[in-house]
Amino acid sequence: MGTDGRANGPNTPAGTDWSQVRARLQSASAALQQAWKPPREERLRLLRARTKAFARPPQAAAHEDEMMEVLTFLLASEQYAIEVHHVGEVWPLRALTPLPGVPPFVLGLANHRGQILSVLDLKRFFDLPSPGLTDLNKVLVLRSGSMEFGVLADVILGVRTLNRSEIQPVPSGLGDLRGEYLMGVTADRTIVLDGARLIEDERMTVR
Amino acid sequence: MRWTISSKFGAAIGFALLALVTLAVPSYISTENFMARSAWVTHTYRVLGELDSLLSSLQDAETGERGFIITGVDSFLEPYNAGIQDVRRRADTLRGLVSDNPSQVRRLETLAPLIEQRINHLGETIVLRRTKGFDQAGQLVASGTGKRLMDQIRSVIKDMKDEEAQLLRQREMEANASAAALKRLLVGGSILAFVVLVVAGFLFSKSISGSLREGVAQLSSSASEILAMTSQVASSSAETATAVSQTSTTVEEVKQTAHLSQQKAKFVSEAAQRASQASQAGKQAVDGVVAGMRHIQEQMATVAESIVRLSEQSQAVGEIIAAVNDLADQSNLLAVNAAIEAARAGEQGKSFAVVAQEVKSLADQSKQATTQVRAILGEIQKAVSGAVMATEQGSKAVDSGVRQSQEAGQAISVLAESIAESAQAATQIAASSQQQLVGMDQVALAMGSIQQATSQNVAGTKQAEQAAQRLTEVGRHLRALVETQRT
Repeated sequence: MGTDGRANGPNTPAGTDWSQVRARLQSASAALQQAWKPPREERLRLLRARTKAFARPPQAAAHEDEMMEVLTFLLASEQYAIEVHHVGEVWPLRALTPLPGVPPFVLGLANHRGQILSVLDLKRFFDLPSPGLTDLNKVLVLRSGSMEFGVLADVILGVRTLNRSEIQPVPSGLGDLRGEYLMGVTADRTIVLDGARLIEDERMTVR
Repeated sequence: MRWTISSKFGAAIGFALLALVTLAVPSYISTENFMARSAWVTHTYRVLGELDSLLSSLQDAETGERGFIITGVDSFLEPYNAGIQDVRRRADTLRGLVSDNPSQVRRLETLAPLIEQRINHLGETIVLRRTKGFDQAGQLVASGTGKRLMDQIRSVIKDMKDEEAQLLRQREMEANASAAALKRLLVGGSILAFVVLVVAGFLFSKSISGSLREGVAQLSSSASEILAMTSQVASSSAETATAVSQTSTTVEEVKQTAHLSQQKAKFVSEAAQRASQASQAGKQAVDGVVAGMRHIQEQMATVAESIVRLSEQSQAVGEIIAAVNDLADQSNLLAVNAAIEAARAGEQGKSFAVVAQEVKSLADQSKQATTQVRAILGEIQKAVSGAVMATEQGSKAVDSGVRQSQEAGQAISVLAESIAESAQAATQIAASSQQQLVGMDQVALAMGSIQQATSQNVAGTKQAEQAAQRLTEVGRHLRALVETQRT
């Protein structure tokens, strides 16, 4: 039998090298025993990236007005940005209570630390097609004076500084409805929303 | 109806005998008759002769008396004495001869006293001559008494002779008639017998020769058949001899084969013994294999249990990772909120914004790490499933291995049984090969006998052939005989 290795089948390789298996197990458990350390290459890569980031000269934009702080987030695989001073805070969405008799872009009410907030879906507001499944588990709280409502987002990317000169006007061909709430598009295809207009829009007011 | 040759022959002979008897009996009767007639004729002649002799004897006596009378010499009396004796004797003879004829007897009765008177007269004359002399005697003679007596005697004898002559004529006529009848009977009977015998002989010969020819034909055909048969038998005997020699060769070959098969059977028996031992060892090995398989099965169960525990633990790790992920998410959001607050704080919040950025970066890294860990966990889960599957397959394989081992054990026991049977059969084969050898020896012996018998057969066939040849010769000869008889 031993002469014909194929007779053993693919599931039972002829002669398992148990010593090798033991060695691999030992190395794995040893690695587990140590505190997690990235491998040397990974560590070097990270350090190099950090060095490069530190070595970058500060932005030459001298003028304060030219710069603006924006919060970037992902919605239906598209990257959006909105000025930070329009955003009150961000929440994780835990529970959503649907509301009857409201426009379809109003998804419902959410409770965050005793604060009741109506939550909108910008895609439906902009009449955008739904490209597949999305998380929609983050809420951006837009706040301006007495007006306050939540907007759903897939992923919150973070806060970054944007040069106003980088923003290019919206190319024609996009929906008119959408166009009036946009400030423009950056080079890395981030759609910059006009937060003031969005908040002050009368459609947002629930009557 | 079929008659045998001997019965036909007997019938023919009997027919001839019948004809002979038919012819002989009347001939005998006729001959007897003729002889009787002839005897009567002879008797008559005798009577006639006696009568003549009687008269002449009487005349002799008279002559002697006359001589004595004349001479007175006694010597002249000799004829007289002889004549008297003769006369008396003849008279007696006559009396015997004619006793069957009453008329003749009567005449003899008259003749006898006349003869006595004459004789007495002669005696008186002689006495007178002697005593008284010639004259006296002469006178007496002259008286004529003697002459008268003599005349009377002559007349009686003449009568008698006439009577006898008449009888003679009659008897001769009868004898002639009888002889003629005999002649006619002989001639006619002979002719009749000849004709009858010729016809019978013809028929007999025809019948005999017919059946004989038939028999000869059958004989010749049978002889030729026998000849053909014997030649066939001769060729068959030759074939038999060839076959016997072939069979002898074959027997020798078979003997060698039987010897070989005996050796082979012995070899097979030994091999079967060894195979039986090997199968015993194989059975033990299979039992060991089965036990080992069972052990492997238990180990497999332990392995499966360990893997399941590993899976459960990795599930716990997954839960922990999910919690960490959640924490990272929340940290991220908090960092974002902090950044928002920092932005709202303006210049004072700049440094805070940097801290918030760092916190966010850490949260992102944590999230990345959790993602990696989750991916690794997924791989671990996959590997665990694969291991479980492999273990299950291994367990199944071990199950089937156990089953196959048991089957192999059964097969080996069956094999051992059949090997034992084979060993037994081989032993039997060896024994029967031995018997075969013995039987082959007997066959060889029998073949020798058959060969001998065949050679004897050939000799006998040759003899039979010769006999058939002779038989054919005999048939030809017989046919020739019959054909000659016919022509």
